[in-house]
Amino acid sequence: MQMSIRQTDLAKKVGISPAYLNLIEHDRRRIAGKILLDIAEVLEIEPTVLSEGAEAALISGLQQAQADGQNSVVEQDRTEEFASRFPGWAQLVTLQHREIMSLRGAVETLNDRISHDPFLSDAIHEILSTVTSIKSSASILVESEDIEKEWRDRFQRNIFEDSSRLSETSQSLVGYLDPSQDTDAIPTTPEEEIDRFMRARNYTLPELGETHEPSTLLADATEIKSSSARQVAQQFLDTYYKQSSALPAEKLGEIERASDSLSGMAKAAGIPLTDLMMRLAFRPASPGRAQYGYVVADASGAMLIKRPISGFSIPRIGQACPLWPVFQAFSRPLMLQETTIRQEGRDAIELQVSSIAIPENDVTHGEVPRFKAHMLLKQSSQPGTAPISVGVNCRICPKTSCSSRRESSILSDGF
Amino acid sequence: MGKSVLLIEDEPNIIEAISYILSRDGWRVASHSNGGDAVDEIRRRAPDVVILDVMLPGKNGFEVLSELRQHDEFADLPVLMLTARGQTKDRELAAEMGASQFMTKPFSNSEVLDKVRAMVAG
Repeated sequence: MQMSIRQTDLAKKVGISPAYLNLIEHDRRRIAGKILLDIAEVLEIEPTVLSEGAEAALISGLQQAQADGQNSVVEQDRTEEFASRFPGWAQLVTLQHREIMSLRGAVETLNDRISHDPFLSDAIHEILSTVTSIKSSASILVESEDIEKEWRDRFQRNIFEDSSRLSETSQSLVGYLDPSQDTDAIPTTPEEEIDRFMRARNYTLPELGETHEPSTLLADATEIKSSSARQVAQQFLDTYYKQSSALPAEKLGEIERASDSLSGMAKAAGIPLTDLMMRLAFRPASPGRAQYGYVVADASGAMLIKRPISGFSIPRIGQACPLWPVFQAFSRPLMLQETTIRQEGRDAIELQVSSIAIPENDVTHGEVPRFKAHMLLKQSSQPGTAPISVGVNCRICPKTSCSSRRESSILSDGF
Repeated sequence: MGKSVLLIEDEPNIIEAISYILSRDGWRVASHSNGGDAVDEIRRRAPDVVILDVMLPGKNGFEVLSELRQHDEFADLPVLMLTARGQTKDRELAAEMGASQFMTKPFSNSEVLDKVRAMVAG
């Protein structure tokens, strides 16, 4: 008998005396019926293992797998031989079969829930009925030239009412399908979880260092769920905390007023240029003060930190436009690049961009440098300076001729 | 006097639109908004054609149709069933229950006229 549970505990759970269990275990009492099923349940094994032995259970499991395997042809007459010669493989087959059956049941349950979900069914019916009403009323207005004024007014009012109802139903459906109650998709990477966390706090953490330590802030962060995201977030918050301690908001403001260049500000603050970039990007918003966007990417093109700014969209997933200065920075490492860009789109504006690629590790002892590129953006104070035209990503880029295009755009006519 | 249609539907604006277009085509149109006593209403009004929605308060359209077909007097009554687009099972069920025609929402006004006319002509 499997001994992952104490004999006395097993006897107690099954409702028999330890002495009686002992007799069963030494084959001095036959085991059958409810006691057999109860013991099997507690030990989490098939009842046949207890009644007929492990090999019989294995053969039974294999036969069941064969019966459920719709189109597979197996050597049925050699099942016992297989179980006897390869008990490990046979066990694996039966376990996987059991898991497949369990997953199939789960899929059927979910499918049934979707098909018979009363809210979804009602919402779809409501939408289709409302659309029918709008379509029918609108057709009457368009097609009936001699329609009486009273009827015309009535159908116009109906269309107005129905369109309002359609709007409400659509919104409630979106809310139902997206439990987060907003239009964002569920985060799929640690960076996205951190992005959601920062977005919920308007990309600034003034409480860090004042009333909260990184660990206490992270403990309260409901947006960050996965353990991998917590690890990455801990590093991010530690860096944020270190930088805000080295350059408090008040001092940052003074330095900004005294210097008009990033290099000059970093020098005056006595901190690395990239620390200053991050500090500017995540400081609290204040009227009359410039707002910054910020992107950090590694050499693979993965965006590790994303702080959006008006006029510059950053793709949630997938590859961004290779023309972005943050990627161009890798071609001239350690050099601060200052440029002006314009991201093509409906409300395109010019943005001043500073970018630099620097190694994140200590390379003084011959270590291969691991570069990260940093890009800081702010709205241009001198528009009309022949900006570089960039996109968001190829799929939604309206630029018709671009030597860096990887794939065709879904926008046929551009903006 | 024109032939009559009984529209069993609980959306007032759909009732208004369908009633308008059928009336303009010469039909006498009456409406009813509850499935629970729909068969009684059909018996009382004795329409030439019934337009029946699936989703109704009281009893759904399938239940109404099933109950209707159990009476010999309504065995051949033309019934146009309104189902939702994409709900293939609804159409299959309506066929089993004895619907004469189907129309899926959202439908066009010309579809309504064509189907209703065809049911009487056929």
